[in-house]
Amino acid sequence: MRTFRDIPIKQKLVIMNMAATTAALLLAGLGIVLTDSLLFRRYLQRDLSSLAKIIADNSTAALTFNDPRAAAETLGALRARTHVLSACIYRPNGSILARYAPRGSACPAVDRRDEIRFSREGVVVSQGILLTGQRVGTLMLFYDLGEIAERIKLYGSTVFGVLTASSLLALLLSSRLRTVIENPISQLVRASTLVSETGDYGTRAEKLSGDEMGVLVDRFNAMLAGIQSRDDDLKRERERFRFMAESMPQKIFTATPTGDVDYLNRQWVEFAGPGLERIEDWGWAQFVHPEDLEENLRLWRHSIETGEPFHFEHRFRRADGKYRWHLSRAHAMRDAGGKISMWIGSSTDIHEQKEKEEALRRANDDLQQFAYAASHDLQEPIRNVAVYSEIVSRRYHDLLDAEGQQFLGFLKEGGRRLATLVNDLLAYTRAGMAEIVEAPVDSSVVFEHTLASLAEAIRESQATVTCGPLPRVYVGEAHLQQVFQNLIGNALKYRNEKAPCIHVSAVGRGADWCFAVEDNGIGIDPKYKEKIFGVFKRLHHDRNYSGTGIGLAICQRVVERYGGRIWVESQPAKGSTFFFTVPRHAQPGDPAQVESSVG
Amino acid sequence: MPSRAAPEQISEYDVKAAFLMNFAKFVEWPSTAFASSGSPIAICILGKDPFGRAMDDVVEGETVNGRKVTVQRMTDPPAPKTCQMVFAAGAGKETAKALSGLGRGVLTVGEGENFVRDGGIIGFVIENRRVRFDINQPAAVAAGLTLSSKLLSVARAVEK
Repeated sequence: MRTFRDIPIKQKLVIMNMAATTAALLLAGLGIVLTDSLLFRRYLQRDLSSLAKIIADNSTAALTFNDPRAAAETLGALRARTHVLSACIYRPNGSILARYAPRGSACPAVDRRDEIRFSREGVVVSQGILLTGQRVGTLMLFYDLGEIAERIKLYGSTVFGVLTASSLLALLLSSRLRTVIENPISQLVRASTLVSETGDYGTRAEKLSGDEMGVLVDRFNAMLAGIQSRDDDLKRERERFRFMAESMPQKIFTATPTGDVDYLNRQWVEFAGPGLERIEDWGWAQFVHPEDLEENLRLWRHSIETGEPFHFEHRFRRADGKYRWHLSRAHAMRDAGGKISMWIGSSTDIHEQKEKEEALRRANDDLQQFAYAASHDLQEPIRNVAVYSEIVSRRYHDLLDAEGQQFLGFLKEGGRRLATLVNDLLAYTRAGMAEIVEAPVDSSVVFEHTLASLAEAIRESQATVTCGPLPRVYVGEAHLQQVFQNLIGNALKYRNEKAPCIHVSAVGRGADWCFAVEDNGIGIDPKYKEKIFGVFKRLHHDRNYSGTGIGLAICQRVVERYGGRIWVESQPAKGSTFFFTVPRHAQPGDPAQVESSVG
Repeated sequence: MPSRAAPEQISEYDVKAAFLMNFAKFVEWPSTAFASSGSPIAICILGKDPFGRAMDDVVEGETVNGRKVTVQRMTDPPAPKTCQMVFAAGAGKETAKALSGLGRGVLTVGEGENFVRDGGIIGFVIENRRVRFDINQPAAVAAGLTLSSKLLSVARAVEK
């Protein structure tokens, strides 16, 4: 059975109406019956009292002249009062003169006091019969209270009748009146059902009244209007996004927070051809080049798990079956609570760029190999030039005239310079080959080695070279020494009249170590700050500052090879500070690079 | 019947004495019937007195409408305003005639069925061994007396 809460409102209204009507009528009926039975008792009391007095008065003669017949006649007048059970006239000595008992009831015992006594059985009235102030007898009257019950019954049936009639009326009325409440509610229910079923927020509930229901309907309609306009905004926004995405040259996609691709723009269709639907969700995987797929899936899953941006270069199969390089990026869009609501990404065709890069890299590698091979192969003939010019100078010194000796000197000098140049070139090409550094290198040890190899120049220039605490770094030992040697060597070389003072230090900065080599030399004009790192760039061509102009280029090549950078800050005539950074942690090797460089 | 036995044992004239006293309570006399406003209601027994002490006992201490009730015995018809009620024992025609000549303001009470027929106002009769009475209403009216309807209702017969 349904509880009251669950039955329809119209039934509730009817029930409430009926309950209220019934309760009111029952209370009213109860009140009437109670009042009436109280009033009726009083009335009965007065009525019986006067009745008894009349009978008593009419019985005086019968009593005084001892006439039972006349007394009985007097009592017989009570016939009209059907509720009189018995009436008896007692003589003063207590004997009965006359008795009236239509139903054979006994006479109540004589009572000398005049009174009206209500009991369960009925009312007993005792009335003295007086003649000229003397008591000549007593009238005892026994009256049943059936009349009260009858009246209650009468009232009860009246109330019941009225109740039935008014309930029917209330039922009729409430079925009429309930429409006032029910119709607006039905309107609301109908409208809200329509909205939730069709999703059409243009639906409106009809306002039927100006009361709270009307206000409710207005508010409901206003709410619908609000939703409708927001819905429209949303649709417009979605169309705007679609339009933007469709008009992009890139391939655009969106994905759910769990990584299922749920939108691909027109560029995808054009690229992948029919069967695009297979790209949706995780179907795109079959369009990725098998060599790229594993890494691609790993990175995509990683991004989905962590929310970090996705960034990957991979090959997608075109409709004609050819693979083209793409750069794909995706970012997580987050809601106000920081929860990922969707992923939006783009894939840009970088195939041509990639091919150019590849060609350039190959050309560069070829060039490097050529330079390496050339300088390597040049060493032998150069060494021969040096060795044999030395031998000639020693053995045939006396055979040569002054001019010949001078030429020989030029030859020796030229050979030496050529040897240095080739050595530096070799070093430069080697600097392009990063080593995979398995264990960190203690840079303070490398610093000591550098000092040892520069001992001659340091002594000669009376320089002071110091260092602060230096870290362990993931840089090849030979490479690091090359950098130190070039930077400290330069500082010794480009000194002014004062004795050089050089200090090497390192500080941690983010993921990098930042080294600084500080001197008090001649300094560098700011306009040459970039230029000095070029190959064969020399600012000083006079003999005071000898060199090949490759040193700083080597430094730059080494540092950049390890993912760092190098720069200079200087004040002319005061000194320069060279900075370079190397990563704190081991870098993943680049096998391709190493392979191609070594080959 | 045993319950009725007690009143039966009382003698006839005891009852009649009580009745005479009670008649005074149901009859209204004109004021002209009395000598003065303070005069008692005199019950006069004319001729033979059959009551003995009974009549005196009945009226002892009785007052009706503020007037005392007294008993007088006489052999001759009384003078006006001396008796308000005259009782004559026996049922002689002469007695009735004599009493009817007493004039206004006197209630005449006699014995026998013929008493009222002969012009008396109230006549005692014996019916079923019980004392009852007949009333001559025109005679009462003629005498200027008002008899209570209650009295009429208990009379055995009322002449109209």
